[in-house]
Amino acid sequence: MLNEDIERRCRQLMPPWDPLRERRVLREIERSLERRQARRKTIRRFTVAASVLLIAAAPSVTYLVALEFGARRPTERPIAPVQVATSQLVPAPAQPAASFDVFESRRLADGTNLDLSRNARLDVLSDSKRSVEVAQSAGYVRYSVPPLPGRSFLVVARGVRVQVKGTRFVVGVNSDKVSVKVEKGLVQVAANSGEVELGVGDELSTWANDAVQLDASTPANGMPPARTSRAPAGSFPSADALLERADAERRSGDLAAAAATLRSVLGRYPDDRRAALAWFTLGKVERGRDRAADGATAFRTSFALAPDGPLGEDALAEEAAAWAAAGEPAEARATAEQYLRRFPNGTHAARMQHIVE
Amino acid sequence: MHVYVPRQVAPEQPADDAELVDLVRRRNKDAYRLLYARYARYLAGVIFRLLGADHELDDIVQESFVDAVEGMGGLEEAARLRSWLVTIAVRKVNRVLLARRRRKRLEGSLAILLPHSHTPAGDWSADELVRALDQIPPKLRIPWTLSRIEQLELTDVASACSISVATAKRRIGEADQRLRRWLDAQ
Repeated sequence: MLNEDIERRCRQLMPPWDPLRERRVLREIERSLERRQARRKTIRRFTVAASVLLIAAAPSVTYLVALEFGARRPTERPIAPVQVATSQLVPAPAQPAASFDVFESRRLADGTNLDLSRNARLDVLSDSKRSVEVAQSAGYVRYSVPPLPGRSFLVVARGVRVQVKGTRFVVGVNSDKVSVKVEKGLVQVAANSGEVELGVGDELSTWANDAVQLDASTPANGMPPARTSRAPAGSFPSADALLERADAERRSGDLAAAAATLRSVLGRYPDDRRAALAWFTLGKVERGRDRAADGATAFRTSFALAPDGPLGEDALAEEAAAWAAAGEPAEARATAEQYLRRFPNGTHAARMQHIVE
Repeated sequence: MHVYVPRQVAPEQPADDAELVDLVRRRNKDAYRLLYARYARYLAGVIFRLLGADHELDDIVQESFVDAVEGMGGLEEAARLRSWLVTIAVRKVNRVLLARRRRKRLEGSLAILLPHSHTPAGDWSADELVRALDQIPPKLRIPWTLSRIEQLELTDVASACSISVATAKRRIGEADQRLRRWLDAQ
């Protein structure tokens, strides 16, 4: 064994692997898989075409061979296979990710075309050239909205609001999930748990009870994305501004300032929907400052605020690791045991087992 | 902007890896997302610690998952999914490390012009260990990292590196010696 302390510190080296980066890589994987699938299809079609060509050419070859060796004369010329082969090689149009069988199409007063799946349920609350409002409660609907200056277009799907000027997207509503697939334009998604921007080809699914809000527009029409301001009125900076500042400080390597800003936002906005994430980030920052005990406390708070949230598992594992780094083996073991009870097959199970042992 | 993206998981998650592997093999639409949601963070950590840098992390994670989804039919034991993913990633990391080593050799003649810092022996940091790892060839570095840092079983290390257990053991020992020599010399 070289040096257990260094090895232990190496084990704690984690890449800055945040949910946004995770999503970005997933998108690249999806694109790669689609590309490979398309390539395989092309090869298959080419193989079929080549086979057809060969089969069709076989009589000609036979004829030529027979002619050469003075066999009987053919009664008719073989059919040229080229046209058949060419038509086989024409690539099929790519299937959109949110594909569904269109059961019915409808056109609204402003020229918007709606493609509805069989189980789609929607009420057109307002249908004029000035304003369109649709409430979608089930199924899939593709909205192809032409740009129209001065017209407002709103789709409400189980708490999800999609505001458009000119774009094309699919909204799907299942019993517990709302999905949005953007085919054209740009979408700003804001959920209780955060915000993200979706571009062409992106797809987002979330639980219906997450009260997601969406705002979509084509970049060309210059419509600003709608933001919900959750900061209380006053001169103190908003939670958004403080979190942005903390991120910038963290990226620039000023960890002390980032920690101070995060503590400030958590003190001022303890009930903010991003509090668990902010505590988690604070834990990471404190670990970066070699203040493992402070980091552990921050991870513990993050876990306590959202034990079933997307960062719950990571927060618990990070807390155990932080206690171990802080020289608190009893706390580390207790937290690692808690992790193993709660996530026996979790991604950090091996690491936690190591701490317990 | 401070951003959080909800995880893209289907409501019904397969209970174990065997079920997940079966879903991927049957080309279930959500299966590769479930696979990714379950193992992306773990694999990213392993790759990051093997590489000692972040620049090519996204590419290797991406390529590893694409290869895994495409080649799932070749996985013999579904229960070994995790170590199989590590094996795929290790092959890609090995390629990157070899290329990086070739580049270093070319730059070696200029290295003498660079300023050197000194750290007292016995006061090494994790960064120094990463630098020390850069000095040894990938065939020693990878099994050592998998064993000492990732704490994989010797059999899993051997399998991931496509070598015998005895060779894995010998290479880990050799890496130990080289690292100690290098760190002591600093």
